[in-house]
Amino acid sequence: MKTPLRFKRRPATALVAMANSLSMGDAVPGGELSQIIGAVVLDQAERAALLAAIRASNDPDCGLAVADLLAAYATEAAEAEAQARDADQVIGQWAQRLAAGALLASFGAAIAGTVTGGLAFGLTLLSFSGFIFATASRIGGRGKMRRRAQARESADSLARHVLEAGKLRKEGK
Amino acid sequence: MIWKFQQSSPILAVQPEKRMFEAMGLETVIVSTIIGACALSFGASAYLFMRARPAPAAKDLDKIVKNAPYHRLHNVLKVEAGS
Repeated sequence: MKTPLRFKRRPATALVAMANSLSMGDAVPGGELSQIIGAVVLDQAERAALLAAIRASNDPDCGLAVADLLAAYATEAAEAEAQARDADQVIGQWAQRLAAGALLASFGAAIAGTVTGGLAFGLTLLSFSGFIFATASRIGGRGKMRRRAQARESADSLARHVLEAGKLRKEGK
Repeated sequence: MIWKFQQSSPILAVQPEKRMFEAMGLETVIVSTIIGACALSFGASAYLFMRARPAPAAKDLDKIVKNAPYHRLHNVLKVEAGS
């Protein structure tokens, strides 16, 4: 694999710079670091540029530091994914069931004649809109969960490839 | 006859000397239960919506890329000075 002589300033090189800076004891803001990693792992061009930069670097520990940052990001994403799944299964599912139960109860009360007229109509409408709202919120939460899972898998695979690129560099292939 | 019916079903009998919960009508109980369930469901859904909102970016990505500590790379990797 040929690597360019001079690299551009882009998220991939910024990540290598941050990893180097961290290993030299300088502080890097955590929010900026995760934003850069998020931009690198989900972009094909940035991934390729990162691997090329790791191969071209003169520091043998550079790849290790970057891979460790990527693995830490993957762990963070996995934690966020687990939290989103918990919220979906514990809260989202029960919000949906509660609204569906209220809908059935309002139907039953209207049929039995306990609640009549505008009140019955209002209750049915309220519980129906509650059910729709609960479903929509669940869909939104699951979307976030999927994005997190994708970020975790991408960061994991990129960490493995970065380690491989570091090994190739060492063997001089 | 009416008196007997009221005796046998205390929920339907609204008498001032009865206690509060027994005086509550069936309609009130059902309506308040359904409204309470809907309120809980709405609250839980609003919480989920709040959670699913993406976190605001701390800084512009271009700015972070421009201000990254490239001076640490001078012996490790050649990076162009400009963007």
